[in-house]
Amino acid sequence: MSKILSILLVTSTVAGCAWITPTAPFDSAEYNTINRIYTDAEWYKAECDDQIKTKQNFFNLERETRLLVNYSKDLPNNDSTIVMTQNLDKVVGEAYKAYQNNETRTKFYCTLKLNAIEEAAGTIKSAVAQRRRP
Amino acid sequence: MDPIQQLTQLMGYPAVSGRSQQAVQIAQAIQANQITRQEAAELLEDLKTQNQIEGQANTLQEHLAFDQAVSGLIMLVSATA
Repeated sequence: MSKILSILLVTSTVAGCAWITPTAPFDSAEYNTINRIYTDAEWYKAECDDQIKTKQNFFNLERETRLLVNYSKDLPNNDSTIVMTQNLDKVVGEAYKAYQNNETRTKFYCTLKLNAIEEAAGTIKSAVAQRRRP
Repeated sequence: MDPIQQLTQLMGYPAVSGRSQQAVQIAQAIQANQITRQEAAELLEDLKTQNQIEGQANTLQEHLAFDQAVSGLIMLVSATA
């Protein structure tokens, strides 16, 4: 009887573990890219008065964000970060397109957009930093 | 409930406090003509996306309430555009 119970216990434990999906370990290249986006967004706010610099700044942010999305999606077991980086790309992408199309945007918009990028990148940065080291 | 009133209440919840303040700030900026309605609608959508990013790590009731309030605000902004 106890043997049957032991077998059932082992089987259920193994089956239970199958539900636990491992998370990708800390990746320094991924972290560095997120940190660069976060720091740039913080830095660029001081240049919101200058439309030409702002256009270039959003170009830089879009390029960095695409780099991050493309890198993160190739890392195994990285689903949650992939979703977060794609959402970040959504936030950056709209402003990038608007400035590249020379659409008029207010200074207030620029500042709040960079706040949004900074906050979103900061959330992802903290989540990635807490991952276990390989 | 009025979305701005709902957002003001949500300022009391640390998980969404910052974003709720930003949403109210955007609504006030429209009234002061500091920002266009199109810009406001986009920035409010950004707040929802930020909320989703945070919710990815920690799904809290406040995140859902925030999402609902901002959706209401976007409808108001779009309807009067």
